[in-house]
Amino acid sequence: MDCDLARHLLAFQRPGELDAAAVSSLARHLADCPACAAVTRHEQAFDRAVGAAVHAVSVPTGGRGRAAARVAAVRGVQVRRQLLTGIGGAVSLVLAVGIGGGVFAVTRPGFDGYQAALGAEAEFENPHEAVRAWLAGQGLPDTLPADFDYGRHLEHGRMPVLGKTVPAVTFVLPSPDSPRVDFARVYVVTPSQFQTADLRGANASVRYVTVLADPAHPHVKWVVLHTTPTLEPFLRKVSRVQA
Amino acid sequence: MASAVAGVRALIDAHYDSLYRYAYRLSGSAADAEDLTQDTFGKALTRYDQLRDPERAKGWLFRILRNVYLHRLRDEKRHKTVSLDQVGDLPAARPIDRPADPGDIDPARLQEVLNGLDEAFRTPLILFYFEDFSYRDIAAQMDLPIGTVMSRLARAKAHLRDRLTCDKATD
Repeated sequence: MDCDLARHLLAFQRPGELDAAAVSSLARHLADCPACAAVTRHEQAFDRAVGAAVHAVSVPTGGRGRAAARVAAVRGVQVRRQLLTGIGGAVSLVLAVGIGGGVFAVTRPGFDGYQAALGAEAEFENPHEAVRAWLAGQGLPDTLPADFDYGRHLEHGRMPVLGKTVPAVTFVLPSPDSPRVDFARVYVVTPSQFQTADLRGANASVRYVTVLADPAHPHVKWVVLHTTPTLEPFLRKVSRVQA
Repeated sequence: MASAVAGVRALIDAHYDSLYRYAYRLSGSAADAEDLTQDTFGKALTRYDQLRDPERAKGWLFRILRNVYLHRLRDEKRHKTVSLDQVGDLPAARPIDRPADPGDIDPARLQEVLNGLDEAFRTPLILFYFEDFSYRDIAAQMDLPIGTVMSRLARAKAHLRDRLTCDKATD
């Protein structure tokens, strides 16, 4: 092996880059050539120094937790997309059947549930702020009386209940072990629509009702319809008085 | 999907630190590094079914991070850098009378020199010094032939050596 080849192979002198024969041949040359041996020592010292400096980066504490939180948020968006595309698809199917059955005039535009779901996606980037702004726009208290986890937010809007449409915010909780999705829907009930003075919680076979109150807004009640025995899975922490 | 979340959390535990360090050396900023790292794990979740071989998870994550970084560079259109195509030929082999031991290298000074390099040269240099990556791994990450990787690496190392050892010569 000559010096030109030896110095070329020095670039490959890392574990696994050269076969055994080349490693052996290079070692023999370096043992016999002081010039190449000196170059090798310099290269290796430089690489050790740079390698140490490259790795000398302090990793901030709590970074792994924040990364895990980001993953959880991405997971929430994935679930919402799946639910919304399912709902949008069902709506589109119902309307398509309606059109086929002559229910809708031919001149009406088609409703693409999937595109509608995508159009709503901007809200999901900051659902807490979107809900706050929407409630305030309804003339309602802009904060729910329990500290709901907005990473689980699905939708908000006026929902039909007991013959009226009532402002409501819905949270979902996918089950890790089954296709089932638990949900909690918070109806914001005011005296203009229902008697609120004696509202109480209730249980049915697979549904629970919890009534929340806030002393700062005595005439408003938040009636939560949920499928889990308690609201705990939907909360970050309990911060307000429950009715 | 629940198993993908668990899988990515395991990846966070195993690779967060090295991914963050790589992000820091690429971007030169702690805030950007954390953002890049978080984005990487977020994208890893959405692409988890693409990870066929768990043994190659680290390289897969590094590749995602680099792509996230490149997208940001294109969006921001910043980063004035030196293209080594303008620098000239590689320096000749060093004469024996130059110091054999470069001593410790200041990480902050290293970052300054890295920041001045075009990403096409900065990335193979950083990956090379993370040691776990072979030339083939680096070539796969950058979608380049091995020969191109080695050429860029040689030029980048020469530039690095000249900038860092020149500093020491003037100390």
